Amino acid sequence: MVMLLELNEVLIEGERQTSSMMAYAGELTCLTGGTATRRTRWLLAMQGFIPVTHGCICIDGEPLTTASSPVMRKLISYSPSRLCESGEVTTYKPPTVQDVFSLRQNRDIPISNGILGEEVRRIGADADDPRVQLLAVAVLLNRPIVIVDDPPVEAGAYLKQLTAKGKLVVVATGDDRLLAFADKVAELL
Amino acid sequence: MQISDISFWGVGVAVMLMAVMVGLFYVIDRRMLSRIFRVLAYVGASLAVTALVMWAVMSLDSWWADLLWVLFVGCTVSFLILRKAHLSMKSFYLPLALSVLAGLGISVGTMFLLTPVAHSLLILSVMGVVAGQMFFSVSLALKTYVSSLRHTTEHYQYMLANGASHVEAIMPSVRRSLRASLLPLFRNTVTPLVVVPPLFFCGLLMGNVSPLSAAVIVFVLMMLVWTSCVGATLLTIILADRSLFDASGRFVC
Repeated sequence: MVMLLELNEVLIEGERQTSSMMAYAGELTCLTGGTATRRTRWLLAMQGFIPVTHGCICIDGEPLTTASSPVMRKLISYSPSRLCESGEVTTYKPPTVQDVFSLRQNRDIPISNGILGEEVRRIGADADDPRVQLLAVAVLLNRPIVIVDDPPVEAGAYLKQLTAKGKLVVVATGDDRLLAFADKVAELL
Repeated sequence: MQISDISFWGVGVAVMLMAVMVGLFYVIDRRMLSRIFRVLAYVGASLAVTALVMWAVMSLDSWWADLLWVLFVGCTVSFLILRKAHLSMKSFYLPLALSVLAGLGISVGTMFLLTPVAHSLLILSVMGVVAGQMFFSVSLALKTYVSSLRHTTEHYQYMLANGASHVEAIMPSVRRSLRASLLPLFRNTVTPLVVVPPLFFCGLLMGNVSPLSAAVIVFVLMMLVWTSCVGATLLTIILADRSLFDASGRFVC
């Protein structure tokens, strides 16, 4: 059975318009329109971090609820556009690659500087861009669904390659050049 | 010391010296005067109430009076901690009160093993020291915890989304909070103790305890205070967890 991420007339907290979307495994689905913040909120809603006030988000036919989202997240890896503190936090350190791969659930996944470097090289974007490393980490977690927020435009071909491996890839972007790689485009109103 | 032992000459001299200080402020900074009188009135009234309550508890010298006093102090300190940290009473009060009472109980219980003093006297003095330190330490720790969770939401969500359990995701904020719980306690100990001994140590000396015994008691009490503050913070975080996060792991406070 092909994995499916479905948004059915979904309204999330803080939004005024509902959205619908069907993303299948083996396809690159782009979420566009609206502001970057709104797109990020929709991606977070797909992982159960923003409450759904109307409609239903389903993964493989199973509705994403507050109770089911911790289990559903095991199918997802997420690459945010940035990781930083918002406000005054003394000695804030963003999570490192080691932090992610030393989590109990990820301990068995092989990781080394060589593996990470190779994945970063495959992405084909500027390696100094923090989004590239976050994307490489999300891919190396090897989950069936990869959710990417605002990736660099050079990563378009790489994201398309991921779908060839059977991944369900959802990308939020405002860049038309990335939309050229998409199999499906969902536009926020 | 009985009230009849207090020398009225000594009190008179202290009042005279105070009057001189007030007179000085009358000349150079009158705006400060009302503040001085307000603080004096507040401290005087508070001390009078405290002395009356403690006198009553010590006179009764029964386990239920001690227990009532412990409960009253634990509940009041919890209320003051939350007010100082500007945190929600609904989410934190019960977990915090239970944690503070546990901390006070363990500290007082351990001190019972250390010193052969009358129950009420020991409970009143040890609990006063521990509760006072908890007020500063736990309030800062809880404030830091909630502030850290609020300001590092991206970090928390990123970790949860990529395989972290709830405990693994909140661990950076817990670490920050526990660090914050110890900092106010360390600040008190870095003063040169030879010339600025702790007030509790001075109190023991005035109660005819030998300096060496007083040092041991103060050192043990310090260890208990540190442990109680860190323990109360951690226990509050654990007990309040269900009201701070929903079933999906979203921070909802």
